[in-house]
Amino acid sequence: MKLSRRRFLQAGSATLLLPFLESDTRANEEPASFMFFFRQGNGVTQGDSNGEVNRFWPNETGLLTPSILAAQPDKVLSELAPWADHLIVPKGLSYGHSHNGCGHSGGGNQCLTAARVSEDLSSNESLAMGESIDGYIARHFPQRGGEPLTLYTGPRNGYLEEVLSYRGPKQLRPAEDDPWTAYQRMLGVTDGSYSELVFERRQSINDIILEQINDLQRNPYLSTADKQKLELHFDSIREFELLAASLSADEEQAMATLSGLGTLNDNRITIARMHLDLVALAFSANYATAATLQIGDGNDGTQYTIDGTKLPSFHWISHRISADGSEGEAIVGAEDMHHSVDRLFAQTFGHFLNKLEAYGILDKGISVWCNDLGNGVSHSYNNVPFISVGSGNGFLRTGQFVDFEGLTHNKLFNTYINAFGIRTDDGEYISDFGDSELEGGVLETLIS
Amino acid sequence: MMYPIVFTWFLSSGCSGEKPSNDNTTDTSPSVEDDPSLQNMGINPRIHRLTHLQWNNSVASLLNIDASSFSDNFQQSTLSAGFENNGEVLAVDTILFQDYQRAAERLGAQVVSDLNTYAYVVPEDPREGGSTTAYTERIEGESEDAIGTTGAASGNRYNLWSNGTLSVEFDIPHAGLYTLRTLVSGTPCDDDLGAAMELRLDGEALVATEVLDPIEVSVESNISTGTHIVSIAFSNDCYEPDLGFDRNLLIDWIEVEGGVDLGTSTQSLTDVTPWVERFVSEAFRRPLTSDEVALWNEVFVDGATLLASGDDIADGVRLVVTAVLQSPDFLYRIERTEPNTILDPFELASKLSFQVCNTPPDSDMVSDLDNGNFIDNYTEHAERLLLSECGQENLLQLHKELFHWDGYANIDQPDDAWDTELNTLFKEEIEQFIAWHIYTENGTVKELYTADYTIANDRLAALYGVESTTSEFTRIDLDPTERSGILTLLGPLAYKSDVGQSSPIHRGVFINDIVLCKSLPAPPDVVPGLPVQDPTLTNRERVEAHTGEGTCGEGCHSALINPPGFAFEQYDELGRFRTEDNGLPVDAGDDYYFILDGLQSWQTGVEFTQILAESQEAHQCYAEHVLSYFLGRPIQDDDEHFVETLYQASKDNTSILDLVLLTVELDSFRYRGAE
Repeated sequence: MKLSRRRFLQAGSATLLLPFLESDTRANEEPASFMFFFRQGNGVTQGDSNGEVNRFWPNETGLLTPSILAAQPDKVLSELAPWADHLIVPKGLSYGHSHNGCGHSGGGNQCLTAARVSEDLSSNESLAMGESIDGYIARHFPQRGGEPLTLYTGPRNGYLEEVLSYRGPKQLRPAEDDPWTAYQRMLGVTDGSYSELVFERRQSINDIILEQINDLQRNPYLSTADKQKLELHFDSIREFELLAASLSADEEQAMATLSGLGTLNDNRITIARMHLDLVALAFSANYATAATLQIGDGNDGTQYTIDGTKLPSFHWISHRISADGSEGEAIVGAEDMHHSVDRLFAQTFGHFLNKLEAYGILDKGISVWCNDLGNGVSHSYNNVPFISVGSGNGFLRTGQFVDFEGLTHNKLFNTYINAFGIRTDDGEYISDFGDSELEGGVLETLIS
Repeated sequence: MMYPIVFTWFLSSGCSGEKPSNDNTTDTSPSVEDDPSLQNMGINPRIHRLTHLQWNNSVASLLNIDASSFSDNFQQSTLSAGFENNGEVLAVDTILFQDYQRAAERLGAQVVSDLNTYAYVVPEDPREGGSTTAYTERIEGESEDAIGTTGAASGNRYNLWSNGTLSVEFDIPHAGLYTLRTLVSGTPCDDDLGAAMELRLDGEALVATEVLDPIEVSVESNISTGTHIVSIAFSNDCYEPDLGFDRNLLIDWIEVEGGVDLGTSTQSLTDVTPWVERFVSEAFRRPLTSDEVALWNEVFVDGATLLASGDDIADGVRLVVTAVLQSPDFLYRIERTEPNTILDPFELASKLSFQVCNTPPDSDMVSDLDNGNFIDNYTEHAERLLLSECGQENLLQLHKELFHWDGYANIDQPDDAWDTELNTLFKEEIEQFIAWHIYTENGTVKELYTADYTIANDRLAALYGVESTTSEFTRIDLDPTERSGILTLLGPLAYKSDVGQSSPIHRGVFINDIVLCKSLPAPPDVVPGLPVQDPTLTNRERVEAHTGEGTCGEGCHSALINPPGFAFEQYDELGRFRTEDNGLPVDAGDDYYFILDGLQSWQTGVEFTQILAESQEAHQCYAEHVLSYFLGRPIQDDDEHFVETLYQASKDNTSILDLVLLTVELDSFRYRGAE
């Protein structure tokens, strides 16, 4: 009864968990288990009519492999070459509606909802008129809480803050900007009582409960339903153990040290990585089904530091001028700066993919690097990138670059939703997520 | 809500325990030992998770603590197969596990944070001295008791404008677990960093962070008796006057709270170990094995290490309580008895008590279990529980889930006579009616559907067209040509209505589904709504035109749904009796094919309910509901002969109370069948 919580996992993986390992082997027959959206703002350097060239998308549609992507080092997506076999790069997807006075707000409104932008609320106050996909998927899995993890790192009291996750029309879901708070909430210690001793006590008690459940399972007269109930109870404890034991003391201390400082500019990527660590952990422990992380506020004005140099406001860079509006002094090398920020986001997304691989769950879900604009200069809603990694437990056909030539992105979301085994009452594919006036359907090309 | 009861059947039997209608119940109930045919009896879950109410009552019994603040916020349960107590689906998933864990940890702490609670839970450890009040002291930053090495008081805070500390002495009255807490804020410099602060106890940093906006920083620590210094340290001063920056740390207050004073134990750890077996056994509702006794004694001893408050016995108690409340033997009602055998007495006692009363076995049952008399006195215990307050509440719960009266809160009618208070009155009425019918009248199922009275106040009486001068709920006689039993009460009729109009469809579905247990196929995916009301037609005519013969809805509606729905067309959207609809005469007449009783016809709602009350199907359906509810699982094919026993008794005018007693005496309740 005196196993430490670190030691428990070693012992548990070899002994206590054995009776239920068989459930893991069924994974490939199950639907996708998680959905994640990693949001960058201000569009990407994909070229437009003012002379800039594509520095984002691969050169040719078709098969993607690590070598194909690695051979295009001038493109941002080459940063994801190690995961090329797991990638889906869908070009040519557009938002279905225009904004209502603010391109960034309208993009954020539509990004995960595929819904209209509010008519009565305009400019930076505009809101989405529908539910977002993260909440839609999460509520179909109430056994994992039914709510998505909604995370953010960016300033508060700014022009736009969190913009992504919606419970329903005009019901923006608040985002948590403090990883330490989010972590403690995951562990159920929100009253300031967090300490190593708390976890040692829990571990000691959990050991007893798990042994008792195992004892009960040995009763030869249990029905299959009774066994399944006990298995669920056992797995629930095991998953909670993973939450509590997977981060190192140093990682926990780092989060605690930065607690309350998530809104500060220079902490943006550090906090983002902490959030990503938590999301990967939450998915690995089946704590959540869906999550979003928004980096930067609606029109991300973060001054990112690249190779030791602190850049101007990313929003300014995306406009190529030293201003949030349409007029201002040109920023020399703005396109290169934007390109370097794109790469920073790709690398940060890669940090998350590494975590998923470490947990062995990369292909069990779908992780999407998205943007609320296609292009920052024009605030375009065309060619909005939704770069996904993971097959959703085999539902998606990965390793391909497809140009959909102007289809609305609701079809991509319908495809994602079906990867989770969600169907109509008649057993048909879900085809109507988002605004009802958009053409429905799924992207068959992406389905295995 | 509990009603003053006059137990007519009980009194008429001279309090002898002999019941008028099933006095041979125990003798006539066949057992698997006597009758091999019962080897096929339906299978009950062996692992039956407690409902939240049962969990709450179990905690109250064990700890003398009202834990509803936890259970009210547990993951919500849903109705399954009609009832919330369906043991086939009640389970512990990640969310509920965390709910249980959080509650157990808080309750464990609560037991050792209150002297009275501790004395209740651990009478084996009488304490000397002690206090029922925990220690709390808050020192304001600007007060003279707060000593700064730099800075000064500033308004209602203390401003550490240079690196330094603000310290406060606390005189800790007794050793224990305390929470140290401070409210702090910082001012920025030009580097976007917050003010770096540490919360220290006697010079040792317990927590460190950076702050800008006001925030409470807290940490738990075990503190010994005596004087201790709590200090707040500031370490990253920054002053840029030219740029207008000056980083300071502002301290609003420093607080120490907790440190329970349970007084001094006169016992050693060994002295208190008998408590462990007694307490865990009570929590598990059965004797422990020797291995279990050893295990839980080990947990008790571990408390001193894992809590380390300095009070080893209290730590052991807290750890045992916290662990026991998460144990499967506490969270589930478990049946380990082998197949084809009557349940072990402890398992049977738990089953009877939880299924009839939602509580663990009470002291009378435990006494009989201890002296080996429980099985002999089983019927007496069943009767006693059924007549107790918790038994009444449980029977109300059964009918609440059957008749959906929680949904009355959603009634919303555009009618001058309606307001939200009326919804509450509807609910009160049906609750009181059920309680009166079952416990005062000792009523039968037949009378449930034919009673010519209700329990109502003046406002409800007016809707019945009856005079009443009191706002209190009293028994009111109703016109037997207009009203007949529970189905013609205001609430059920209003609940199954559309906006501004009755709903024959909803009422008809309810009769088929709940009263006759007749499965209806699911409606098509796309159901066109009813056309708007035509002022030249009655509501019935409108519904018939949309769903009756010759329409696409004919299959289900014409023969099954509409006829029993039309029977209640004499009652409008608030359940008021009417003879006209849209100025036209109401037509409530129709016919319906009862599978067991053939085609039956009626002209009025009262006639229809009386047909229902005589029908074999209504009695059989009610018997299925009662059996399912008390077994805590859906009816299975192999339950047929048990349903038959109950159904025949109901047809023979056995009271509802006696039907329940008959149910818990069935082998299906008391035995494990073949598995």
